Amino acid sequence: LAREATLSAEVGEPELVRDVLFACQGIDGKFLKFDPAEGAYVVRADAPVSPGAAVLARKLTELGWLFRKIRACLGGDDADVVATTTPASADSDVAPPATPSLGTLGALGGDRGELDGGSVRRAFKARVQGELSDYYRLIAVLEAQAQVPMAAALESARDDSSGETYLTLRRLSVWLAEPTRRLRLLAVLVDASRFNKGGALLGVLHAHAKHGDPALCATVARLLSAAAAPMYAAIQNWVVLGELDDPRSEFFVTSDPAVAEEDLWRHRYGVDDAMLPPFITREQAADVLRVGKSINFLRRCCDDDGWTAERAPVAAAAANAGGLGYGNPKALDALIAEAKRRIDRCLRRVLFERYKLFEHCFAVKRYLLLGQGDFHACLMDLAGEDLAEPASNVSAYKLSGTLESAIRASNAQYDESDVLDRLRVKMMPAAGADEVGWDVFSLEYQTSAPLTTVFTPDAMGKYLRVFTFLWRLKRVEHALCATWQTMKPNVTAALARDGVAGAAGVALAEELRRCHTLRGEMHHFIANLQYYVMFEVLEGSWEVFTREMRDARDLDSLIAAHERYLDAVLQKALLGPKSQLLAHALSTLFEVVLRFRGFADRLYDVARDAAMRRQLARLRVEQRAEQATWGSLPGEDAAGGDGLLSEAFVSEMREQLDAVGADYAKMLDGFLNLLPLQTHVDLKFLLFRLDFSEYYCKQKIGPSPGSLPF
Amino acid sequence: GAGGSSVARDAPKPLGEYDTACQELLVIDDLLYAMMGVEGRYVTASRSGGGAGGVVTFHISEGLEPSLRALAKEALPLCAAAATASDYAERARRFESGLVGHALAAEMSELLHDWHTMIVQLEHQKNLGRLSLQALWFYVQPAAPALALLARVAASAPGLRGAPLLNHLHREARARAGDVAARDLLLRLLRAAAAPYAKAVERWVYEGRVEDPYDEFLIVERADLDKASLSEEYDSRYWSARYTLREDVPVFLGGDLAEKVLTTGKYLTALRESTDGLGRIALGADARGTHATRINAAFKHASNALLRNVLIEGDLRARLLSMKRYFLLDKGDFLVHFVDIAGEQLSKRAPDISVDKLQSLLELSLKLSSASSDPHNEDLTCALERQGIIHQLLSIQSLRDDGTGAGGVAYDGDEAHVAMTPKEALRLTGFETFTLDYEAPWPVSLVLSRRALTKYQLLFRHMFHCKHVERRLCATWQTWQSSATRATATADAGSLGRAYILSQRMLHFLQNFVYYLACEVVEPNWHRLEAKIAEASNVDELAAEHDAFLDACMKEGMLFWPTILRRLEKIKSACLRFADASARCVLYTGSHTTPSPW
Repeated sequence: LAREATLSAEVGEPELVRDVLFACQGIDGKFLKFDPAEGAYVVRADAPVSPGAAVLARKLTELGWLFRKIRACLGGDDADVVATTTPASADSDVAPPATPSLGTLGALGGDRGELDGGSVRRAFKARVQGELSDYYRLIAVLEAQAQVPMAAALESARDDSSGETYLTLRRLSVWLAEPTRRLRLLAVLVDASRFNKGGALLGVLHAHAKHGDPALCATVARLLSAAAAPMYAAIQNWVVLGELDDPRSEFFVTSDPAVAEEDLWRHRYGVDDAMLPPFITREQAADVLRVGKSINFLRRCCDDDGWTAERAPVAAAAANAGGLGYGNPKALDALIAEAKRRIDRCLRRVLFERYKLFEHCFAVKRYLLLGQGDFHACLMDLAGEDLAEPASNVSAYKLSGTLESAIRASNAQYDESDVLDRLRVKMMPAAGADEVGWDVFSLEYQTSAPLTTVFTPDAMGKYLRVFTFLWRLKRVEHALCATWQTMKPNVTAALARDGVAGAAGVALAEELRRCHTLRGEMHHFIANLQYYVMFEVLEGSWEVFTREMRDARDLDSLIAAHERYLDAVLQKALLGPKSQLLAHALSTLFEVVLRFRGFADRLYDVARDAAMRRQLARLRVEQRAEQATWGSLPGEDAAGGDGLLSEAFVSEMREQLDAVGADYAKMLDGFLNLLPLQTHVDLKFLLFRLDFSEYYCKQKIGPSPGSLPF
Repeated sequence: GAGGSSVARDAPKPLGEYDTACQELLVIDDLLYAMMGVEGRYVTASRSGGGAGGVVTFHISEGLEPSLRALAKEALPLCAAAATASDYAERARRFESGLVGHALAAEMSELLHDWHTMIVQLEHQKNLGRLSLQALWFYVQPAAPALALLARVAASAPGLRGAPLLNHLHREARARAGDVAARDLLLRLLRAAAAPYAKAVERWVYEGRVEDPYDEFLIVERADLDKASLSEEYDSRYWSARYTLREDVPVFLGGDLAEKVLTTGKYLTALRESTDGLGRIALGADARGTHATRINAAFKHASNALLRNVLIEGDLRARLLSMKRYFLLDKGDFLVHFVDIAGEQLSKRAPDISVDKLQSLLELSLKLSSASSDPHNEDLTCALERQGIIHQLLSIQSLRDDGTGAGGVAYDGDEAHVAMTPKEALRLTGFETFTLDYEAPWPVSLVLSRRALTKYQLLFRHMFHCKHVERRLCATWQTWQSSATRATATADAGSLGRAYILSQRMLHFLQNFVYYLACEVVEPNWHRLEAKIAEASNVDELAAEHDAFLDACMKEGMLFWPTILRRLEKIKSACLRFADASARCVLYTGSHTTPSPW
């Protein structure tokens, strides 16, 4: 009787157990109903159960709440729920993302919003369904046990100790403890990853893997390895085949099909940091990007199919290391290392052997950076006259002919025709009316398809700037040399010997001497500057560049080396943005030198003219003397020698020379003062060489030694 | 937890209205619920302390037969213990309790699962009608101490994470060394909780990486310290402070093991930074043995690897040789050459000297002397110090903490001189301030740090100046030599003779002093250092030996002895004055006696 009494209180328990099992599948039962207001399952107040049972039931139905939540997050369509409860897919522990199961098909058809989920999300969902199907199986087993009436079970248990099992709420709580934890985790994951896709979703999952509970970690790892499978498949596809099939942009490599083929290397592909899963390092991502990029570059820009043969060993490398997948970073490392090694070798071979990158770099250095000295001297001699014309009168067509003859006249003729054909004359648009051909003339080196990746328009622009500078420097030097030729020491000597008689003559000789000194000074400056640019800047940078080019394993480092080389040249040649003042000072200095040249020519013309007349006069005198007449006739001296050389002319010349000299000194002072401010370039040797004997220092030109930072 | 029912229900019939057998059944039923942490009809829970962290206690309602009541009461603490434990197990899963906390919680839930399973068995017995309160009490006996222990851990664990939590468990286990069951249980918890910790240690020891999402593991990384500071700052903290041990070290890494773990990983990171990607040790999970032997093995491997890296790739021996060659004037021919061509520059006032010029002259003399065969001669640069050597020593001394043995020399209390007066700056010439400098690349900069380089520089300045004075005296001696022979006949032979003798004596002193520095200070210490380098088993030892070498040289070279040093300075300045005076004098007399003395 006593037992009856206690059991009467428990009469609702079997019903409650069944209700809990229903609730666990998100279905309302007889006593347990989902209460949206509370957001939980609630035991009906009139259920004939003890309060302990009611509390326990409430606790157990957390599972139902979790289940509803997960299903809601997964899209909530019943189609995939039904599909995955079929035994076939319930037994599959590994969700096959490649073969679309009924579940994923259902998801595809079920909800349009889920379509943007993408493959990673679909794989994740499939795996969550897999986890849920384990759960369904458990519930099914429990349901079967719940069918067994407790009394019958107890009867059989009394007969033999191994009777049929039955369910009570307490038993349920033991059974369901582990699934509750798992579902709680799933709910958290599903909730957290709700608005993410692709790599970002993997990132969210990965963040939850950092937990100390081994079971929890294992679950997350299981989910991750399933969800990451499409990502790894994409990596493999990209690294081995160079193909990018990523309609939902889930992969961390992005592609911009709008970018033209020429720009493929630089701008077509990129790494999307948001889609980079945290378990793939940035370095790995950069390598992956580059390998695929290289494959595409080879195929599209270089027209090379050498990679086809390399695919199999690359794919095998990953397989040998245990296959790509989450939790096996070694395989990714192996894949990347192998692919990198092979693709870089391919690329280097194609660039250096088929497209002769090194030869072209060298040719550019020789022709655009004036490395081939005899050719440029030749060109300057041949084109000098044409270039002195106003810019508008210079014909590019004619200059091309001059270029041809300069090539034929110099050692450049032995160069390969492939290189020579690329060399063109380019006339820049004239900036002002008073510009002459010199200012607009430039050489151009034309490169074709794959090489343009290295020789970009930007890089060629930099070359052009260096060329213009060097060409100008060379022209100034050329002018100074030409001046020297006109004022060869023997001209001065002849002047001194033949004597430009009279005070004006002596004064002129003095001016000529000063003129000579000034030229020497200028030449010292220009020669040292040229030495600095040609040897310390160009050769040094070229040395570094060739070394880097030799050591560069991949195209990126090759391009980087080339850019570093160009930037180093620009910066050290004082053409960089930080040196604008200096470049300006230098160009005014050049102008002064060119002005000086004009002046010196004029001066010497006059002087030579005077000397010539003088000599003629003397000849006449000697002739007459031989004819035994009067050697000199009165008034002839004045007409022959000094007539032209009036004091006024000499003093005018002196004034002009003073002006030029003062301008030069001022410009030089400005330039020298600016030099030490160029702290980003190592210019101390240039400064040191320019003033090796401390001449300028004593003249108080340039920076005073005390002001130097030491 | 013991959630209170929010559903309003009819008040239960008081227990007293049932008969004893019924009472027993009802109480058993309720107790079974209470053991799972759920309130029943007659067994109710209350929380003291409030909030989620409070202590749960269970009560039995009145009306129970006294003997039953006494029995049932015995079981109540058990219920409370189970509730506390499961409370902790739920709460510690949150992210903020750290990986160690998570692992402990997971293990605890595992144990609680066993406990629940037992309850279910008891329930089965109850349903079969075989369970009396007495039997219940009997069955739960074996689990009782374990549960109590769990509750104890759970009560004390909140707030602890990482190493302190592990140490707490360890302490508890040690305190119960006699109670095998309790100790085993605690050790089981400890093992589980330590697993993430051990994993992190392993990652650090084998790969040199810190992975510590919850800020609880052994190694603290300070990413703001840069290795470039090694070659820039005298007191660089990079090597000592970039990675440090956390204050709390778990007991199983006690002794010097933690220190070893730290050093191992440090070496690995150093290796990784010098040769990218090669820092990883292939010492996989197959390594057996206790963690101590594994750590020792890893330590040996890492220290050997870094040592090899420094010695072979970094070419440390050759670099030390070039340090000796340049700074300790081992092969001084480059210096003679340098002083010959740069003497004029160096004799100027310090502010008037162009360092660039000196640098180019230095390079020239390096290229022209036997130093051109040294592969590392490009790393040598020169500089001008702003202070005299004594002042530099003093200012470094004030930088140095008192602990280092070399700094134990007492100074004469003239700290006022540490700051240099502008007058002083004017007095100093290039000969006093000229010094060499060296750019040691990573990882050699671990040994040739700025600290070591400064010591080298001090030694160099010391020796260089002595050499300079000796050189001046030699020149003076030469002039006296020639004029003395010439002047013996003349009237002023006496005073000239005295000057000649003085120059001899000065020369004697200085040459012997320089000899002492070179042959009795540097050489023996150098030999000792070479022997030590051959023996050194890790980089720290190497650096320490090198430091000891420098300190010994400085000490024996009297650089730690300012009184002597000051006196030496006075002697040298007297010598220089004498040299100046004789130069003037010879010039003067020379112009009288011979038309062209040179």
